[in-house]
Amino acid sequence: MSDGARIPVNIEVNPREEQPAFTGRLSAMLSEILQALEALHENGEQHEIDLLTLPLSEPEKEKLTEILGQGEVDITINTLGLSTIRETAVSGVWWLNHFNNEKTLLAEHIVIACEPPLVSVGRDEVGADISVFQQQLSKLQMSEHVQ
Amino acid sequence: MKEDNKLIEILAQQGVSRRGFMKFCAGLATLMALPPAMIPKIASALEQAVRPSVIWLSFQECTGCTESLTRSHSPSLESLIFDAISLDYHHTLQAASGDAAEEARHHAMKEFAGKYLLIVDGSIPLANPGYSTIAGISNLDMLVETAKDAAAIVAVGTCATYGGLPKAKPNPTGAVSVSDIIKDKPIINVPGCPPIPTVITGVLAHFLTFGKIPALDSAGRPLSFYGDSIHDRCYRRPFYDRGKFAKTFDDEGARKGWCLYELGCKGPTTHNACATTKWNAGTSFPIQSGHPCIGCSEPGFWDAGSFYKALSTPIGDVSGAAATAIGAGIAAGAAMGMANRAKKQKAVDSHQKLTVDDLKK
Repeated sequence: MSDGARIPVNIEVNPREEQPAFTGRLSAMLSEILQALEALHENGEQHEIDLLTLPLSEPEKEKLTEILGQGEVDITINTLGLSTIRETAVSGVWWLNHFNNEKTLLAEHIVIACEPPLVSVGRDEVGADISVFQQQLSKLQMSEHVQ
Repeated sequence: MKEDNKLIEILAQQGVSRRGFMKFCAGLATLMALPPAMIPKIASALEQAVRPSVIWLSFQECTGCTESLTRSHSPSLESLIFDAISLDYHHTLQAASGDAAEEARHHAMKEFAGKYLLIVDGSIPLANPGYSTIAGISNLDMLVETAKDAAAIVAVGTCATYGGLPKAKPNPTGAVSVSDIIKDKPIINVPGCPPIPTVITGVLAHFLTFGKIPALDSAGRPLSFYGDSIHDRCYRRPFYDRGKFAKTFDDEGARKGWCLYELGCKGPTTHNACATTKWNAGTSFPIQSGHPCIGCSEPGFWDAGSFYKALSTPIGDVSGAAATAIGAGIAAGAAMGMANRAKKQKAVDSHQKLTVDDLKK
């Protein structure tokens, strides 16, 4: 054991009861979500809020989770690490997390949309995969013909 | 490096799908501190962007800035960004040395004249060119020669941006910043000792994406990262507003996580993204770890007096000032900020040295 290990150290880091519970940022964010929902309802306009750039306190984050609740849909996407999209209990409000391969959180968004834009498939992608699919089908048919 | 390599093609070659590309763009938006509404514009810009050549010069520095960058906490995104640039010269990271290394620099300068991005860390000694040389070339000569055909310059770290530690009084090497020498090129200052790695990458990402420099403040810093003061975004700010301050590093206030203003915190006069981006995979930043901000991203911070006393430990009664701030709101807070800046300038002018007594305070 080194000498340093014998030094008594007692670190108390920000006891939870002393954390400022509500800074006023949560109600501002909820107002933004409400405004975005109205815009989505009226003219289909989508909106996203970046949670990582908003320093919500832990109690505020918990309250946000509680207010938005849990919906029926959970989606995971595996590309450049995991992404999760969770439907909240509020129709049109989705909670999106992007992680990297090290499982570090890269981005955390509240998405206000009828469906998360990341999920749908582009027609050009469908077109590209049709040719791949055709090749596989042809290959299978040829092997069946030989047999 | 093929000049016509488009970023989207490079990403596609690595098997990045459309969803992966959109995720990459979302990550870039966060890196660049841009709102999510910009993600489609980032995607659109990246589809047209061409892989840029980057030359990185290191002068009077400690390699802390390179260490910071190479220890960025989001490896997949970082590696994609690095794959998306062509780092043609970086004497710490490159395999080539001696004549071969200098040849690589000259080749990039010639082939991509007017298009390459020049990154500089470290200050430049003017008192005697022999204080710092690379391959027998003085820092001044190498900077002037390489800057001549650069599209833009990114000064990384407080040494390159404002002179940093080498420029601290009495400045024995006659150290100056990049912007003290180069006057005819766009320069982005990314100060910090070291800068936050994701801020460095975010600035690179902005140039990659939009091919131009971001909006800057009066000190040449990107507004997206340096637009707010540490104090503005600090989670301990509510304690400041309530007049609750730690008086020493081991009193009740310190243990309860109260505001560190009276312990010399430079948060009110320091502009950086530490309070939101944080360090070590978003784990913490100095104030969260119980230490006041030392103001390392501000010009002349080494000469601004003691980290613990001179700059922002008030001459008068802080509690009284804070109480005024509570009553008068932002206006009083701004007035206190102005008072702090005045004190900072006074401290810079008088060059108060850190003493053992300061540390024991």
